[in-house]
Formats: sequence, C-alpha cells, structure tokens
Amino acid sequence: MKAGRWAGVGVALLLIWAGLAYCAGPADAHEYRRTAVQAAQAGLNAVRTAALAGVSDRDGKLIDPYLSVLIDESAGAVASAQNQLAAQPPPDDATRTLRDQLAPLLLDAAGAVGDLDHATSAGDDAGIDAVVARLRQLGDRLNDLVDRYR
Amino acid sequence: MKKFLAVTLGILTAIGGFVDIGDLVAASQSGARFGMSLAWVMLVGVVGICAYAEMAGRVVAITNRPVFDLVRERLGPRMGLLNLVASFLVTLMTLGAELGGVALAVELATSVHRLLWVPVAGVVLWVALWRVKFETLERVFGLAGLLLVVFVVALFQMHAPWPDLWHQALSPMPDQGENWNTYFYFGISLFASALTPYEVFFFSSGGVEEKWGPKDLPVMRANVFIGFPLGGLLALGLMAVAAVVYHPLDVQLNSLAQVALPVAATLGKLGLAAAILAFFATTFGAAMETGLSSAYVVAQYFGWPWGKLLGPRRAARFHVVLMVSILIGMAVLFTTINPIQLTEYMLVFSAVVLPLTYLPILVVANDRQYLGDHVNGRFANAVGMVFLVVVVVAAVAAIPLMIVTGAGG
Amino acid sequence: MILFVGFDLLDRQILDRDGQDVGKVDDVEFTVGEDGSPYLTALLVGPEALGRRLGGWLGRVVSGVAARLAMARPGPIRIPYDAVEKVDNAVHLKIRRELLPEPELEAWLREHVIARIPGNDHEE
Repeated sequence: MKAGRWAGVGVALLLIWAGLAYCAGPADAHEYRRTAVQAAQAGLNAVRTAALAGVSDRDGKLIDPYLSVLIDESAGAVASAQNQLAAQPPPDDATRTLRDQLAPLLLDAAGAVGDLDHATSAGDDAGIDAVVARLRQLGDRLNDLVDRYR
Repeated sequence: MKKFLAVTLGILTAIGGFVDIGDLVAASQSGARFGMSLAWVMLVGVVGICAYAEMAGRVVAITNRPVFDLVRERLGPRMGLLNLVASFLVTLMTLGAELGGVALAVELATSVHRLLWVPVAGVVLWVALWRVKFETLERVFGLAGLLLVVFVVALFQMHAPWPDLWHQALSPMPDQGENWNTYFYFGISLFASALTPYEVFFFSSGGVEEKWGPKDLPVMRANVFIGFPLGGLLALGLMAVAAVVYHPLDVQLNSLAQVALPVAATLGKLGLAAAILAFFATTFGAAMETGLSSAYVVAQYFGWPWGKLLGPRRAARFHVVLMVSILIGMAVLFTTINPIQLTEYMLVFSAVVLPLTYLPILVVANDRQYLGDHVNGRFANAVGMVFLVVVVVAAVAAIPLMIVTGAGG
Repeated sequence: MILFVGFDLLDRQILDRDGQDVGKVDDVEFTVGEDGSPYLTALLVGPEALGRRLGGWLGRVVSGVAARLAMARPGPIRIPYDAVEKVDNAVHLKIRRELLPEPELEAWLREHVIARIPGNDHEE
C-alpha cells in the first residue's frame, strides 16, 4: 500500500513537470499572435487613457497626485506590453510582420506618455495638446492592429 | 419622527454599504467591455441578494441565531467544516481585496505607492475593530459611500446617450469581436459581486447582535428591499459611465484611477475628490465587514462567543481570528499582486463558493422547526429555487470560463 | 421529554442563563442505568469531542491540536444534563457560564496574546 501511494505521488509530480515543460516551451504562431494582441490592447488602453487624462489636466480638472498615478500606470502598462511582446521571438514570417508593426507603436507610446508627463508637469497647454494628438493617433493605429489580428 | 429618521438612516447606510471593491471593478470593467449589455446580470444579482438577505434576516429575527450558526446544525459537522473552510478562505481573499482597494484609493489622493498604505490600512482597520466602536464607523462609512452618486451626476452632466444605453441594456449579447465565453465570464464576476458571501454572514450576525425580533421584520425588509436595489443602481451608474466613455474607445479597465477619470473629466476636481472619497469609504467599510465576517464564521462554527460588541477579553478567540485574518489579508497584498487582479480572482472564487453559502439558507428558511409560521411562502421558495439553480450554474462555469478566457484577457 | 439526539441536540448552540454563548454540543455522554438502558448524562463541549465525532484524519488533527493545549484539564468540557433548562433552537442552561470551566484555547489566548496588546479591556 505504501509503495502504491508513492507511485501515485510520483506520477502526479511527473504530470505536473510535463505540464510546466509544455507551458514553458517556445510559443507557436497562434499563441504568439494572442500575446501580441494582448500587448497591443494594453498599449491601446494606456494611450487612450493617457489622452483623456491629458485633456482633463489641460482643462484644470485633475488633482496632481491623481494625475501622477494615472501617468505612472500608463507608463507601466506600456512597459509591460513591450516586455510581453519581447518575451518570445516570433516563430514565423506572419508573426514577425506583426511584431515589426507593433513594436514601434509601443515604443512611440512609451515616448508619448513620457512627453505627456513633461508637458503636464510644466503646465504647457500647447505641449499637452500636441502630445494628446499623438496619443490619439497611436490609439487609432493600435486599435486597427488589434482589430486586424484578433 | 425619530423612528422614521432611524429607518432612513439604516436604509441610506445599506445603500452606501452595498458597493465594495468587487462591484467597483466588475461593474466598471463590464461597462467598458460590453457597454450596458450586462446590466441585466446586475438586476438578477440584486434580486438574488434581496431574496436571500430577506430569508437570512427572517431566520435571525425568529430564531435569534445567525445563519452560519445553523449551517453546522442542519448539515452536520463535516459538511459544516467544509463550508467553513471555503467561506473563510473566500472571505479572507475578499478582505485582502478590500484592503487593497483602500490602499489604492489613498494612493489616488496622495500618489504615495499603495504598498505603503497597506500596513496603515490594516492597522487602522484592526484598531477600529479592537476598540469596538463599530456602530458609528458603520454609519459614517455607509453614508460616505453614497458619494458614489457622483457617477450618476456625471452621467447627466456628460449628456449620456440614454437611448443608446437603453438599447445596449436590452440586447444581452456580446458585440462584434467579442465572444460568449468572455461575456459570461464577466457576467459571472458581476453576479458574484452582488452576492458575495460575506454580506449575508455580516447581515445576519448584525441582526443577532441588535436582537432583532419578529417586530423588526418590516424594518429589516425595508433595508433589504429599498437599500440593496438602490445600491445596485449606484453600481449600474458605474457601469454606465464606463459604457459611455470607455466602451466606444475599446479601452479595457484595469485600474481604479481609470474608473474615476470620466467623473473628473466631467465634474472637475470636486467630482474627482468625491469619487476618491467614495472609493475609500466603500472599500474601508467593506474591509470592516469582511474582517468581522471572517471571524464570525469561524466563531459561529465552533460555538465561541463572538460579536463586534464584545471586547477582546470577553472573546479572545474571536479577536485573535480577526487579527490573524487582517494579517493574512495584508500578507496577500504584500506579494505585490495588483489589487484589481486580486479582486478579479476573488470574484471567481466567490462564484464557486456561492452554492455553499446559499443552499443552507434556503434549507433553514423552510424549516418549520426553526421558523414556525414564518417559513418561506411559495413565492419566496420559487425565487429561492430559481436562484439556487443560477448560483450552481455560475459556480460550475466560473473556473472553466476563467481558464478558457484567460481571466477575461 | 423525548429528544432525538441527532436532530435536537448535537451541534446545537449552548447558551447560558444570560444568553451568552458557551459553545456547541460537540458530543454527548451516555451512561448505562441500573436497568441496563442508556440515558443521557452530559453534554461535551470542546475540540477534543468534536474531533472524535468528525473522524478520519481531519478529526485527528482537530483533537490533536486540542490535546496539545490541554494543560490543566484533559478532555472536553462536561456539562451535566441537569444544568439544561430547555432545548428550543438552542440549548439553554440554568447556570451562568462563569460556573463552567473555561475553554483552554480561550484562556491561553487571553493570557498570552490579548493581554499583551494595549487597550484590551475596553468594551462597548
């Protein structure tokens, strides 16, 4: 009976190991696409939220601590999206194209959020408007990408 | 006149106390993702909690025993222990999520990182419950929770497209580009947010301490049938704001800051301050309730003296469980998990545990030995049975849907 | 009075004369009378008694923890059935709970945990 119980434990451990090995393996095209779309969606969330925040701040509707939390969150979200995208190499040509379209967008997004931080700290209304326009444009392009590859 | 004021105060406290971090997250995320097409789930959830809270309240008023007390009697010590473990763990998770919500709310007002607020929130919560000054706190936080009405005000101020919202609400299906799995996943989370187990434990335990009798039934029913639906309306307000602002932009919500942004954009700094204060009040109030509920269920299973009105020397075991629960809640947050994500998991696990909470209530509410003539009538039983089926379906589907949709990703 | 122990007594809440919680009826004690038939002599309260009833490894865990704490007095709290006033949806005793031995865990926690934290003697 004892031997049987140990055998059961051994089989369970083996199955868990096999499961982990499967999950940790290289992504196939479908998984990569799914991850990339998630990263794009995260980027979309961040830039459009940041745009809203920028407009509201320009109109004097936000308190400073709150705005800084929003901007930090947007920056963090874009950074994680970039990490998520870079975690695995694209397995085939189609996914390579996807990455080549998405990565620069996310890079631009990171820059734009940083610029928004500067503009809002400086109280530069014209600057804020310019960044918001960029953020909106990025949002549209990210949205297109998400729609195309979902 | 005094009685009228007391009753009104009770109802207002119930309205403000209805919403917690689960509702804040589930309602807003559903609104952003699906517009108003999940509004019906909120409605169903409110009907469910009203039906079961009334049953639990009736049981308390007639037997003077809290509902969880009777679980062990009716189901036996083994099933009771299973019920205890499941309920305790889920309530603990909820406590962690609420404390996380408190930390997030304070972060919004101060920009100091939320992890630094977690110990503060935990200690303040514990001191409040240690020194046993509950009733005043409950009133204050319940009424402050009413500030969530700022979301409804914002809806009017932003000239929400009411016909569109109404149309969305009447078409209960996912829109283009979304699938039924995700739709039902969000639906189940929303459902669970209205029916979280701790609400019933807390409600019935409070009734025992206030020594409800049969003559308190009308007031109890007023609190339930007026307070909870109006609370649900506040949650719908959150959903609608997200539906108007974020849904057309295809933006998904995953932070409390995002939830408040439309209010700020429409009503300015005052509106924003009100929203942040409302977040703080609802989550801290809920943290008090979940903290107490986790201790209630353990004490009520073992038969220990319990109560928010009993000092630590009179109920050492109860207060120690309370302390340990708060510590565990804080520990979970110190793993740096995002409180929003913790809330999402908490809702799924609440959904799984719901049948364990609600089946015993239905059983006890039908037991003539306990309730005499006050047992469930045919209508109450019909509603109760329908909900039991819904609750079981939700419980079974919750985890598979979470896995298939990648937690709504 | 005819009571069905399984339905009416076991796992029911015990309240003292003032309505304060004492514990649950975790188990009951029977004694065999002179005529050979068993009759109920006492209610047993405490995790040792509960653990025995739960059975299996779970019950052993519960009883084991309790046994480790039992210093002054081994075994569950025994309430003679004479002390029971009436049984409705709870078991009501004729005596105040101060007359019963205090549960080990409660005493231990009060001395070693609660007493060390300031402000513990306040009550509403």
